[in-house]
Amino acid sequence: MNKIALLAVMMFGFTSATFAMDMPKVEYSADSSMETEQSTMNSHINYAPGKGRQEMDMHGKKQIVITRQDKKVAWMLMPEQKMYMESPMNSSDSAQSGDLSNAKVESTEVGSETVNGIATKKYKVIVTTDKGKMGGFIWKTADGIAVKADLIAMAKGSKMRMKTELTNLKVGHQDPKLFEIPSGYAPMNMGAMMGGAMMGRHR
Amino acid sequence: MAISRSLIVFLLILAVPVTYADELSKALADSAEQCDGEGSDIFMQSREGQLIEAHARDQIAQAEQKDQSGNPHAAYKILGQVSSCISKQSSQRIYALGKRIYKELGDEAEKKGQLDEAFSWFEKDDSYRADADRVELKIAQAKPDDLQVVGGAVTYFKQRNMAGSLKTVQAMALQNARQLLAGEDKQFASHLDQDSLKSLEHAGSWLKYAEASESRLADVRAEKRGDVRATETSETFLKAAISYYDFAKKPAKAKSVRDRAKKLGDEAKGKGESELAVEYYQIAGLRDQASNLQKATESKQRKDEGKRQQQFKKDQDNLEKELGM
Repeated sequence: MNKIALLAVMMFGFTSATFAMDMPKVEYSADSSMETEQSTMNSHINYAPGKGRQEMDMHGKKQIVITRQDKKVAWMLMPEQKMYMESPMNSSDSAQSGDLSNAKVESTEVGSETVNGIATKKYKVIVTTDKGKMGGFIWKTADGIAVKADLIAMAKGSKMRMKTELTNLKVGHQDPKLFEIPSGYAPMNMGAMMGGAMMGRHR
Repeated sequence: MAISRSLIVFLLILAVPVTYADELSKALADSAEQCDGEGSDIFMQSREGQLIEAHARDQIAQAEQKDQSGNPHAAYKILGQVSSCISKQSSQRIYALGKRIYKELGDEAEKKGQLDEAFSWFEKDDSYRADADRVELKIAQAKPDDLQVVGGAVTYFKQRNMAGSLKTVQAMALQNARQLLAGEDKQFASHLDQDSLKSLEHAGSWLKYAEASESRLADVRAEKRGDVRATETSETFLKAAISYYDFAKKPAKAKSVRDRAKKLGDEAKGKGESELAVEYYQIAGLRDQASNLQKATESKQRKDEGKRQQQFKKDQDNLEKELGM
């Protein structure tokens, strides 16, 4: 595994594990931004316990990912084509999620801060594993919503920083329809996409 | 002296056939220029003409013998080598033999299921036109899903003015088109518009060979598809709507979609969604407007991204110090 891939897996594992430790019990919506050195990604998120929805704009093309922990399934919607692709969510896939079972985790409350007008508690987190070290700060509301995170992963002499932030946070009931496949969407069937139409042969 | 006399006799023996072959060869070469034009009768009376005629008669006799012994292929091959610069009588012998051979070879090929070959033998002589017609229909029935074969049969029976056989092959074409249209229905429902368009194109190719009353089935279907996609706002569906209308030859409807794309492009630009606006302008056919906006957007993005990366690195240094990493 090259350095960048290793850092990405570590970062993914770190953030997944950190956020999954204490998933919010409340429903909310917000605008989200995720920044790395290479790029930024803005999205709109909707959350309800066990359910998530993220709407992204990829160079003018909208893409929506709905995660359903309760059904162990994720749907990627392509509104452009009104199609969706389903994939299973496997929480035991340690290669993807990053295995932190042998990690040494230190979490310390640093103090209170207001982030984007929201009262939060700031935590310093340091995680040491046999693959490298990760650390950073996470800002959480009293409901357990991580409104900001600024994290660095270090491995094999390389570093990767990731910053996430929520704005326009609105805690409240989310329409259950947001976590379902909208009507009129067709499943993306690779077999059908590959299958050519009947062609005329030549005499 | 005895040796030299034998040598002279040997050379004379050799010289006779060599001279005949040379002479015949020259005569055949000359006939190409002199036989068909004016004075061909004169050529026929010449020694060269007589040589050719005698040789042709030998060849025709050989061919007749081959045919009688049940080898029409060999007979046909020999006939193919006979000069055309021959007497009327020899030509008539060739015609009679050829006619017989065509039927024999056609029947043989048909029995073996070599229908294309059978057709080409029967087609050589008008006497076997009914055989050729029968075999043409058999060819189409053997490959009912082959566009070129069935299409060829439709054209053939139209030219032959054979209503019954024409109806049969036109029905084959319609059946293929209907199958494709049934598949297209599923593709459209699955939002596979590119596949749907391909199916419509193939169906359209088949419908050219169906009865005239059915010929616009694919166009009508395409227009309906366009009407559905034109109600959407996504670039993919708007592009598809234009493609459907272009297929259905409905330029006014295609233009209305392009006009709507321009309007959506203006709206997106107003909201600062430049990349989306570029896409809409491209659909609207406003290439210059799309290109200019794209260049301006990319230039701004490069500038903004440079500043952002600088700040990001600076913040990273501070974060590392704060974390003691």
